[in-house]
Parts: sequence; C-alpha cells; structure tokens
Amino acid sequence: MSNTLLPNETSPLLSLESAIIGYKSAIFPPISTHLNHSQLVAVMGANGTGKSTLLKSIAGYIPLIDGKIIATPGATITYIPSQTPRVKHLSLIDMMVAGLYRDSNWIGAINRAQMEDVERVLKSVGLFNHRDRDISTLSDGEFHRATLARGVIQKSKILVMDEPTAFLDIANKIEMLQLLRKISCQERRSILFSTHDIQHALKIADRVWILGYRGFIEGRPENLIEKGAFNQMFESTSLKFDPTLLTFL
Amino acid sequence: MHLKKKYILPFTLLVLLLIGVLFLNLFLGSVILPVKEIWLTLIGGTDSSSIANILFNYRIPKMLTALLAGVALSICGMEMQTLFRNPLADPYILGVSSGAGVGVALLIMGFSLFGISTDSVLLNSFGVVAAALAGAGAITFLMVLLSFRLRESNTLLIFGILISGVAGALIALMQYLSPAQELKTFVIWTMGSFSGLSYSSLLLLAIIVVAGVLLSIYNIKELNALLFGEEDAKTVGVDIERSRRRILITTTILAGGVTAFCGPIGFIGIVVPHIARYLFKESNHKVLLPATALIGAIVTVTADTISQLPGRGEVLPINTVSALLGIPIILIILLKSEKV
Repeated sequence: MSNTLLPNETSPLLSLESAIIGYKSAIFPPISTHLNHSQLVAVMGANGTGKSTLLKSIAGYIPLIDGKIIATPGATITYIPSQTPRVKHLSLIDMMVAGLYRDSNWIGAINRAQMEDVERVLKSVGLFNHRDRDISTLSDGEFHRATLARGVIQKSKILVMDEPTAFLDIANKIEMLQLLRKISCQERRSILFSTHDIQHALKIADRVWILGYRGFIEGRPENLIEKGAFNQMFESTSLKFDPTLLTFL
Repeated sequence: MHLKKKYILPFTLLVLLLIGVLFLNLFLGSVILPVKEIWLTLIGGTDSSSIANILFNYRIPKMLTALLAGVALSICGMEMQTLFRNPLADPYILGVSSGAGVGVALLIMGFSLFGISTDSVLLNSFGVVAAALAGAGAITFLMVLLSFRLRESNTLLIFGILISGVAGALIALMQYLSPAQELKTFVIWTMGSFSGLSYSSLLLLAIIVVAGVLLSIYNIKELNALLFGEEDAKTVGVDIERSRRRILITTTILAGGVTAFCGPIGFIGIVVPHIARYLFKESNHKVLLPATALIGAIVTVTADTISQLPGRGEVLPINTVSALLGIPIILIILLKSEKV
C-alpha cells in the first residue's frame, strides 16, 4: 500500500541531523535521517540499543546530547507509551476525553465536533460499540487499540509509539500493525514505532530504521533485506537473517 | 458533556440523606429539642429564648463546622489519592497537620518552656487558629519549594512522612517537658472538635473551604488526566510540575483550614473517597468530586451527632468517633473490593 502525497507534503516532516541520543552520555553513534508525511516507519534493534531513548528524544522528553531534530512548523508529536495503566471504573469515552487535555475546556469537557471526531476514531479502531465500557474490563488487544485511539484524537501529525505490539498474541499483533497502516493512510499521520515483530512489521512498514551494533541503517524493507542489513541487528554471528522467512534462524 | 442519567437518582438520594442527617444533628444532643420547637425557632415563629440560644449559639455553628470540615477533608483526601495514585493517601500525608500541631504545641506548651510567658489572651481560640495556620503554612511553603526540585510526586510523599516524623518528635519533646495542665490542653486539641466556633470564625472557615472547593473543581481536568499516572499524563500534554503544585496548594488550603479551626480530624479524608468510589463505581472526577463532597458531609455530620450522645452532658472527642466509625467502613470496603 503506498500513499500519494499532496503537493505541500513532499518535504520531510521531521529531520534528524547527526542526532546523538542518551541520558548523560551518548549511547549510539550520530543518527541522520528523516520522516516523511503519512509514512509508517518501524524502528528495530536489539534490546538495549536505544530504541526507546530514540523515540523519547524525538518526542521531546529527553534532550539530545548533540545534533538536531527539526520538525516542520506545525508538525506536533504525540508519544504513545508501550504500557498505559488500567484505571478501574473509567469508561472508554471518559478515557478519550481525558486524553484531549490540550483541547478540552477548563473543566475538561469537549464540544460536539470534538466528540464526533472521537467517535469517528473509535469506529476506525473498532471500539465504538465499547464506548461506555469500563476500560479495566477491555481485553489486552482492545486496550492497546484504545491507547492508539487516544493518541490519534490528539491530532498530531506524528505519532511515536513504543512497542505497540508488545504483550499481544499473534492475532492482536497483526491486527495492531494493520491498524497502524490504516491510520497512517486514512488519517494522514506519520507513525514511528519500535517493534521486535520483524516478520510482520517488514510486510507493512514503508521504511525501517535499524539501530545495528555497527550503527544506524535505514531504508525500504525490501532494499534492507537485499543488502543483508538485518544481520547487523545482533552482534552474535550464530544468528542469521533468512530473507524469505523474514526471521532470524 | 452529557450528564449521565444514571447518576441523577443516587445524587438525589444523597442530598435527601444529607438534609436528614443535618436535621437530626440539630434535633439530637445533650438536650433533645422538640421538632416543632426547632422548626418554629428556625422560621422565627417563636421567641423561646433558651431554644434559640442552644440552636443559634451552639448547634447550628457546630453543624455547619462539621459540614464544612467533612466536605473539605473528603475532597482533599480524594485529590491526594489521585495525585499519588495511592489508596492510603489522606489530607495529612504531606505533613500539614504535623505542621499545624507544631504551631499549636509551641503556643500551648513551647513558649513557657523557653521562659516566654504566653498571655492568656493568646491561648484563646484565635491564638490557636493563628498558630495552626502558621505551622501548616510553613510546611506547605517547604513542600512547594521541594516540589520544584523533584521529578516524582512519590518522593514528595516520602518527604511528607519524614517531616511529619520530625514534627512528631518535636511535639513529643514539648509534651515530655510540659506540666500536666498544658499537656492536657494540647492533647484535647489533637482530638479534634467542631464546637466553639464563633460566627466570625465560621465565616472565615467557610471562605477558606469554598475557595478550596472552587480550586478543586478547577483541578478536575488535571485529576482525570492524572488517573493514568504522571508519566502517562505527560503524553497527553499535562505539565506535571504545574499540576502538582496546583493540587498541593489546593489540598493544603483545605486541610490546613480545617485543622486550624477544628484540630486534626482523622479518617474522614481517607475513608470517604473510598465510599464514594465504592458506591458510584466511577473514577471520573466530574462525578467523584460531588459524590465525595456529599458523602463527606453526611459522614462527618453523622459522626458529630454520635459524638454528643443524647441524654449525656459530655461530648466525645470527634476523632474517637471518626476512628470507630471510619475503620469498620474501610475494612468492609477493602474486603468487598478484594473479592472481584
């Protein structure tokens, strides 16, 4: 599935220029890359390489050690953490309204147009019929979709998601990735997400960013597979990436 | 926002219940006043001066004090529990009552120990209120200063407990060194009381509580976002430090105000929000706040009614009643919510 870009969407939405990430000292070589409009980008790498740090740096929670992250004017970023606490006795619709913190009025109420938008997004993630349900009774897959919906209604051009497929069974993982693809196209959002589900993410992402042990590699999934780039994900030489099965053996 | 219809009935019932317990509070006491006489006196249809005296100088101010204290402490406890995501948080968890306690202890016991003679005028209720407010204010100031340096609210919680510990030690020291009469005066203050407020004090308390409640209503939006924890609230755009300070200032206005006028009142602030959550099965503060306020008023006015057992001359300390009433309630709720 590819996206046609509008004339004003040809320049990058977000650019990283020799960005060095880390809390106090650099944890990864400088990264230079960019994110385009309505693009779905999977971030991959071994545990501890800095995927979460990179995503939080892009979302603005952690300052860069050096380099720059430049966003197009008006391109705001919403960060969606991998796990959101479940609150007892709160309805799904109230969770959405609380998530509209920036746009709701002084007491946290939203207007009719905003409510219609919330309902439209709930429909597109397949949760509209659960709008009055207590969120602590949703299944894991449903609750993950609820946190995605809460991110989408915030209207940011860029969604940064930390492991949206973690802790889900295989059916829910695939459904979540297809949903990301759909949101990216229909809502015209750029979605940057980290994942360990290489096989499924490769089939669906426009581009892949690899935090390899020798440095940063990025490209279209098929090109990266061709180049054997995935063999740089893990330092272990006993692991080999199988380009037909799209998994490590 | 659409008002949820399912809450209209429970709120109506609570309002009726509140009216009932308020009336019962006026009716019962060391002297049981005939209903008809109370009614006639209230609407000005009689000039029985002794009943008017009991009602207007004693029972009505006491009832209003209990009502205000109940609303203030319950809302305050609710905000603390949400901010810290801790079911055991209460209005005093940040040391407000300890601060007030040190202020009052200094006034009643401390100054004489240092050879400063406290004028008996200072020891009247105004002096105690001022000392408690000064102590509570000092602690709040310290907490707000600390909050600028902390990333996590839970660290603030630890500071609150530590400061309470220091305050408790200071108070114990003064108690140990004080003569029996002063010691008793202070111990009675720590037991809490809703009686003895003049109308001017009552007006001041009412202004403080109304201000605190209005600020709490303004906090509803923050509280709903904070239900998911501070890290998550940041992702929807909450400025955590600003929200934390707002809630901190609101809660100390509420808890500090009540403590200054009534002494430290235990258990109401921790128990009532749990009763509200249990009865309403709702975490949205737009519902939880009014529910907590109403239940707080009902529970506190009832505790006050019980504290002055009919037919007896003396009034039981309110803290003993609130503990004996509050602890069983919280036990039942804990047991019921454990078995899902």
